[in-house]
Amino acid sequence: MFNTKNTNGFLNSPACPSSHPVRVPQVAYETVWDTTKFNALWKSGQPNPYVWSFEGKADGSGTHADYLFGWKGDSLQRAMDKSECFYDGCGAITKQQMSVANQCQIPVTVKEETDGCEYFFEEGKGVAEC
Amino acid sequence: MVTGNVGETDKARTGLTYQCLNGQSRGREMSTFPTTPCTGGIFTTQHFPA
Repeated sequence: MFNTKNTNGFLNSPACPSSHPVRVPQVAYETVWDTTKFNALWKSGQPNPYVWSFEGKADGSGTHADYLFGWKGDSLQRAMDKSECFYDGCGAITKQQMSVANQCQIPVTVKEETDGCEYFFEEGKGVAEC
Repeated sequence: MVTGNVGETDKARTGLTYQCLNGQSRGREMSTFPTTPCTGGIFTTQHFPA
């Protein structure tokens, strides 16, 4: 698990305290924000021009994601019962190679244009038009 | 699922960290937005629960 209280690093999950006997999984999201198209917007010595956009505030400070998953059979319970999960692996539990997982495809159900956005600058701000 | 508090704008949260990308290399983990330009983008990590 990732200890976000004290060490801010990874450690093996200790036994749950008797007051909280049910172990739950911890989720980690890693996101690469491709701001490279706006590199001209942030020159060395200038303050950070980026903000999170959330909750309708101009200086919004939140981000949001939804997480859907399915675990085959009792694999999640087995992963929680024994403290051997580390990041993207859980000890003896079979892990599917990414090259295999990436072959899984479903038909597109939300038909929305997400590629081909054009970026330009307007009054010193970066703007994207799709 | 929420990490941190969307109503706060001035506090760092250990459940949310940032790394400044320059080319392919990642900088050290920080608790706040990078303060220098990141020509390779911005890498964020969120943990829940945090």
